[in-house]
Amino acid sequence: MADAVLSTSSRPATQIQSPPKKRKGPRDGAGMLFVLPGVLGLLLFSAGPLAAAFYLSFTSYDILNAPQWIGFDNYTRAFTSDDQFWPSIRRTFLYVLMEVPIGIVLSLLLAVLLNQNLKGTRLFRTLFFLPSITPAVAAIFFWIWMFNPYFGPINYGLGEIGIWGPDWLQSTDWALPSLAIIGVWASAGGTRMVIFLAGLQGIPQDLYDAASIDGAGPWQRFINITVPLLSPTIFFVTVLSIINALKVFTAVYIGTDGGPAYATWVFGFHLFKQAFQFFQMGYASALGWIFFVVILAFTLIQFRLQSKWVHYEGAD
Amino acid sequence: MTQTPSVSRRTLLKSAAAAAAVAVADAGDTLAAPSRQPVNPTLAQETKLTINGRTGSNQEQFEALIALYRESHPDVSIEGQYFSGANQEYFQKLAVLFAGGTEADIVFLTSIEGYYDYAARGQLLNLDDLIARDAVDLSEWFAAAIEMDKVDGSTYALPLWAHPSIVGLYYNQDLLDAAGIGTPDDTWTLDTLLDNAEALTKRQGRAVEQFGLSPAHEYFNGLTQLVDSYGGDALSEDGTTLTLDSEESRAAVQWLADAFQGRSVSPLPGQQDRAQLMSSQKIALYAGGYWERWSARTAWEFNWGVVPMPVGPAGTNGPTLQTDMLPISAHSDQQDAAWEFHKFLSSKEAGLKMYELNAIPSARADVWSDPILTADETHAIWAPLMDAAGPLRYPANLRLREFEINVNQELSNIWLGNKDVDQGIADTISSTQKILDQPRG
Repeated sequence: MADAVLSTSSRPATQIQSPPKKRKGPRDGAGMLFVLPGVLGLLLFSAGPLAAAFYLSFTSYDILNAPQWIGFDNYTRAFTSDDQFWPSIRRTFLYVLMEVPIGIVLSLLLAVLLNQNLKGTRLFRTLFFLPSITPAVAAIFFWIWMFNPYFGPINYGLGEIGIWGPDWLQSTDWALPSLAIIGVWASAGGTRMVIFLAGLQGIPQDLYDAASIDGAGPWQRFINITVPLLSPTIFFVTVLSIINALKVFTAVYIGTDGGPAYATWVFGFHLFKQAFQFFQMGYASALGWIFFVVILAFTLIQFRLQSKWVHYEGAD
Repeated sequence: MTQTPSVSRRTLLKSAAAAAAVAVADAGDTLAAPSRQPVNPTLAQETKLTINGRTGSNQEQFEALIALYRESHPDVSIEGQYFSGANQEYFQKLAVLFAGGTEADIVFLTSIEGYYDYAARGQLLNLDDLIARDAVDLSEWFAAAIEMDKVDGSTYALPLWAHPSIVGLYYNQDLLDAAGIGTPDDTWTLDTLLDNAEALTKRQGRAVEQFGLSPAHEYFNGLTQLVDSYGGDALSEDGTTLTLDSEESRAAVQWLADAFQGRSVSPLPGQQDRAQLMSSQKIALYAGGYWERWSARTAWEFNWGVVPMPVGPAGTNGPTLQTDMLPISAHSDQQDAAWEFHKFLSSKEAGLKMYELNAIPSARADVWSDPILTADETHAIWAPLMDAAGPLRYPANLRLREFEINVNQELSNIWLGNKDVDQGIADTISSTQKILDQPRG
């Protein structure tokens, strides 16, 4: 019963009592009016386009002429005859596998470091945060130069220590990992690190003190106190990071244009090309809805699995 | 106390849902580009035209042409609406403008970006009647340019300008001198070019300090011309089959594979800006287009020159015409005024002005052969190439972008050494045929 509350009176604790029914008054109307712009905005600019895209996904629509109803053809095409559909999904998940775990571990390490109250913490916090507020276009051009196989500083540095660097963005094997490196660089010290830092600062110092008295070293304290108590934060960050990584687009659009040889042709880029370069908005809409279902399923799986490793304080 | 009007939650949600439902229900009808209602001509005092173009040098050129036009047509005002970004961004913006019915009266398009898409979808004004009405003499333009601008036999634009694609060989004279290699001339063949590129490539261990050659390898800009110079065709005459598996086409692909892999005299294709490498003297020989003359003049701090690309076994270097144009929107409410301006943009006067403004000088033979232009030796080498250039061959179903992107991506496997030439060509043909088999885009 959603609106029932446990009584706090002297009645037996098991007795459930409904709250007194609130009388409707004129102030309700005012509240509704205040909410109206937000609700309308949501319906018109989010729910509306979502529904429109759902409708368009069943049409052949070139954005210039009226859509033609074609039933499930777009969905059939995606699963059976689009050469880049499955490969782009595979590349997208590969990118997630490379970017998310490394990014989360790095963010956590940076947060733990910054939580030590060492000298210069504020300076480092700023430095770590800097990449996340650097405009993406500028950052990607910077990395294109860094990754230049012939004249870039990374391969030059590797050459100085006798290592022959890869062709990075110009290699089918290395282009996607290169983008993941850019992704990790851009996100490790950003919001994710700040969330971890907030989570770390919420862990009572008493627990660490007690563990120290019992003889626990730094690693044991980290594994047995920090990680379990931070697990809700880690879960939250993981869910968001995976969703963000699945949407990888900007680095591909600017840095590789999906190449070389389709090596970085990820799902978001595939969808974009269909919609805005190939004049196939109906098909792109179908791709969008398929991807929505994929992300939703992936997120639900994570929620299902959280009971196995996420520790909520106060919960049994 | 003022009483606030009461709005029930149910009423609120009903209203909001109704608004969304109307938006969605209308989607089917309104998603087609809306047509604009003509304004009442009696109210118009001054004819107002709008033009869409790219920011940067195009903007400067168009503004100068507008100013020139207004000297003889003071009653016409023309507002330029320019959008930043490289080609791709501009054309995406244009698609959105067309979709919303907010494109300008005249829009900048190119033969490989958008022209056929919009013409075939009825978004551009068919000029056949206007050309006949005004007895426009189409022989004033290069025949191939006029031919290329036809879609299903109809003309949707007079060519603004045209060029013979990337068939120029720019060279760094200082690097050639340092290597003891003479200036490229008509004794060079494609084999000579690779030999000299090898001599010009400098390595330090496995690292490359200087590349001998940067060839053009993309389908419309590089590959098509190279295949032609070997006597082959990249695409069948009817535009339905990729014909890279002919002996001649294969030889052309092999030549590029040698440049990138076999002899490793060229930087790998990718996002690396090869023009920038040329500018910073990391490349000695550079396949480039007509337009490269301006960046060479302004940014190259070394002695340079340009000659036509060496001819291949077929005795040609495969010049292929590409045109850019400023067609009139089919939704324009000022079509007569736009047509007059459109004709001016393709006139000799505008062509000469464009040359002065560092643009490609028109698609008219009388401009290309004008003594003012031919006196410039970096222009003069291009004039015979224009005369020899045939129309660009494109897919019959007009899916140019999908087609080109797929061919370029697939062939990258050869340039990167992932696949040998035969396998790479076979895979490219196989995946591209699926695009060519689709209905008209």
